[in-house]
Amino acid sequence: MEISDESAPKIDSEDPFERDVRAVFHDTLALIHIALVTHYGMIDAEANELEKDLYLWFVRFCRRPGSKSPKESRSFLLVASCQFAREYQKYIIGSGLRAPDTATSRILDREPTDVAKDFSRSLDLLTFRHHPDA
Amino acid sequence: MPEARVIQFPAPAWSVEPARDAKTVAEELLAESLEERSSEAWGAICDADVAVAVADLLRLDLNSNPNRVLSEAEAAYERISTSERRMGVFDEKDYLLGDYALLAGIANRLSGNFESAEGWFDLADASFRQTIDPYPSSMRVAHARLVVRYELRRFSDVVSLITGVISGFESRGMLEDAFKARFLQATSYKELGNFNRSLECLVALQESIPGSQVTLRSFVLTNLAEEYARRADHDRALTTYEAALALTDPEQNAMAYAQLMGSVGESYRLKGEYALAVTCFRAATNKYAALGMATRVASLRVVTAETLLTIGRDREAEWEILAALPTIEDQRMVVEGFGATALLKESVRRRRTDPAALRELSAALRAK
Repeated sequence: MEISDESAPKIDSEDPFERDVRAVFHDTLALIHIALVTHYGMIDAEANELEKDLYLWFVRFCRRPGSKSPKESRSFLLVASCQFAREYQKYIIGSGLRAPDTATSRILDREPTDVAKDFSRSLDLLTFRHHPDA
Repeated sequence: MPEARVIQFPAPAWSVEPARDAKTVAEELLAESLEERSSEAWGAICDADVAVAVADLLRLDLNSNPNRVLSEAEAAYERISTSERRMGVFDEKDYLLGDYALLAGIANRLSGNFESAEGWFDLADASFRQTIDPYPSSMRVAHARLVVRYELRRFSDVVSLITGVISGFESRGMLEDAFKARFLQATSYKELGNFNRSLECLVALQESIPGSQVTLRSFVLTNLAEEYARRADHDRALTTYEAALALTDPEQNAMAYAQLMGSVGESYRLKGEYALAVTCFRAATNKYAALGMATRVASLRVVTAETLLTIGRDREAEWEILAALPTIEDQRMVVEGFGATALLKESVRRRRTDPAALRELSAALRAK
């Protein structure tokens, strides 16, 4: 679940913004991985590749004018993860490369925003456990 | 767990060589003229980071070269929308199409093509709506649309709709945009004749705009000075104009500089310092002439002539009038057969300039 330095954009170690984005992404990564593997039925290696892309996207997203702080943007990161995973799985299943199981079919029928909302609740719980004063 | 291979999406995100950063690639792309740009060079625009960098560079050019920004933004929009390459990894393509459409809309507005601007703003809205967080981008489009309404002199519309845009910007920490929206609100109040409310807004802006927003700060000071001058507080107006001038680069922001010098000249004239007024009017005239704005040059020449006559510099006044009259007639700056023009022409021909005719012409030009 590490973000490879080869595929991630060049990080300026002095840039506090990118450090912040990276930290938030790392904090959320465990939950993203669970979403991709356990719920969307991706294999570990696929999830790892997708996570690298998600990191690239998250850096770009946080830089957009008017984006909330990286910490406040976690819910968008979760929506993007679910949507991206859904598109990927639909592509794989649609190409006949993998047969869908019941659980995967069920989650693919749900809107990614709804799935992400459930995960956001888990994230809130996780944050509360780690930082009860936050 | 069975052995499995990772299957890639059909068209992976294209990316620039790691050694060259997106800004460098963007600068190289824009260094080539649009007509001479090769397909290979254009390919770089389909990299999300390069496309963001190109848009950022074009935004810096909006006020100095809107026509170039317009052609570049339209071409980039076309390239991105028709490209079959996957752009970015998620919603980057929609975001960038929105951003380029917004740029093209603003550039159209600056060039006076308001209908085209609205069309581009519709496209921007449609693309931004497809992104994961459309709210801040749609606020930027809403603001751009209100600037068009301002240009169309629909000031009541602006005043009634701008509050939502300001609070939208502020809720997302977009303070630079919020200041611009507050400035639009202040100038709309002024145009509606609500001078007290306008002054209140301008003073609040003067106190809160950071030093980094130099151009906006200069516009705020210019408008404040004009309001002080309107209230016959000429000393305060001139001090404020001086502060605005110190922030306005005559080369990089030639149009703002010309407007400002014209306003400073007017303040000196109202204060009775005619020689200084003439100097300022001439500086403004030269700038407008360099920008090719013939009608502005002619109007200023008439005001300069009026001022010169007041201090007995009749000969110079005649030159100014003789230089201005052809444009006034060619461009139909006053209605055909306007009596004062004929009287003035005749009096100048006899080298006895008629001050009443000159005043009448000047008033007619100001009223336009």
